[in-house]
Amino acid sequence: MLTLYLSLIETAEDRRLFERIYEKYRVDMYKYAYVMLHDERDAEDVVQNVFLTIIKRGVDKLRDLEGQDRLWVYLSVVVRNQCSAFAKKRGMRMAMEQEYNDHRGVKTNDALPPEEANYQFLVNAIRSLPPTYADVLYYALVQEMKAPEIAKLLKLEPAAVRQRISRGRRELIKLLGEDHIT
Amino acid sequence: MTYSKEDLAAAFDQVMRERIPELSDVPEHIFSDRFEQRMQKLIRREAAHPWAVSHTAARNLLVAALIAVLLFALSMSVSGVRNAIYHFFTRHFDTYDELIFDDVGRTEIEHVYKITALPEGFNKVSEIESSTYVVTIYENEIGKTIRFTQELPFSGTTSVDNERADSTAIEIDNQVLYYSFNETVSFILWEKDGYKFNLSFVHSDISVEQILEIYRSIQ
Repeated sequence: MLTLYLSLIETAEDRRLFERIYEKYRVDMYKYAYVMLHDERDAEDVVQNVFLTIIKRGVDKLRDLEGQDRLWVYLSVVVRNQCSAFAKKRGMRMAMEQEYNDHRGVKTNDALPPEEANYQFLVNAIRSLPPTYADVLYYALVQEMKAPEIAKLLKLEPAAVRQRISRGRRELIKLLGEDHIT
Repeated sequence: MTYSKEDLAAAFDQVMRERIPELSDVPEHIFSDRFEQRMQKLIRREAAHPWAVSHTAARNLLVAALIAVLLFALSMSVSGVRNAIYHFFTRHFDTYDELIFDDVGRTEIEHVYKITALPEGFNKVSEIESSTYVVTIYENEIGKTIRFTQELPFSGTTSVDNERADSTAIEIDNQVLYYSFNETVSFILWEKDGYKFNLSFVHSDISVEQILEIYRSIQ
C-alpha cells in the first residue's frame, strides 16, 4: 500500500517524509475518523482521502509542521473536515461540532503575567469561534492556504470559503478588540 | 495588544489540539483488503490525472496510451464497448459488486434532475435536498415505493449486494446502467454529468421496460 502512495511522489526526500507520516499517523487518523463516523469502511475511506489530499497539496508543505510538532494537529483537522464532508454527502446528521464558548465569556486573566494572560486571551477567543470559522482561519492564517485550496479540502465553493474567512476574521477581531493581529 | 503570526499559530494549534477526542479507547485496527484495493484504484486514477504527469516522456506515453485505447474502443462492437465499460466501473467480489464512479471535481449539484413521467397512482411523499445529495420518494396507495437519488460521487464507490440479487448491464441511449433486481427490490445505477444516480423500486413488480420508461423521463 505504502509503495502505491509513494509512486505518486516525485522526490526521494518527500517520499521519506510521506513514509514517516503514513507509518506514524494512519492508525490514529483511522481512529479519529471512526470516532466521528462509527463505521469502519467509512473511516478507512476518509483516511485514504486524507492521504491523497496530502499528496495533491504537496508533501513538502508538511515538512515544517513535522519539525514544529504540529503535524498531528493539522492531520486531525483535515480528518475532521473530511468526516464532516463525508457525513454531509451521506445526509448523515452528526453531533460532531465541538462545544465552543460564548464570546462574551472571553476575558483576560489578571492572575497571569501580562504576556501569558494576553496569549491566553487569544486562545480563549479562538476557542469561542464557531468551529466552521476556526477551521478556515486555521487553514488560511496558520497554514497559509488560499481559498480554492481550502475549498477543495472542505468540498465547498471558493466563494463560500472566502465568506467564512471574512466572517471568521471579523468575529475574531470583535472578540479580541482592535489592533491585535499583525 | 498586538499578536504576531507565531502567537496565532501557537494559539490555533492549542485549540485544535484540544478538539481531538480521546483515541486510546478505540480498538486497534487492521486495515482491510478493501482499503488496499480501493487505494490501488484511487492511485491509478490520480496517477492518470495531469497534475501527476510532470515529465514529458510520461506525458507522451499517456497520450499514446489514450490513442491506443480510443482505437481499440472504435474497433469494438457496441456490445463490446458496453461490456468494457461495465467491467471497467464494476468490481466483483464474493458477496458484493463494487461500482466505481469518477469524481469529476464537482463541489455541489448544479442541476437537480427530476422524474417527469411517473407510473399512475404514484405521488411524491418526501424530498430531501442538499448541495450534494437529493432524494425524492414516491409512493402509491398500496405502499409501493419509487426512490430517485442524485448525488456527487464523493467516495468514488458504491457497494451492491450480489448474494441476494442478480445484476446486469443495460445500455440505453448510449448510457450504461447497472441493473440489480430480486423479488422485492430492483434498481438501476448510472453516472452522468459528474453525478451518481439511483432509481429504485420497492415491492413494485415493475418490468424493465417500465423502469426504462421512467429513466427516459428524467430531465
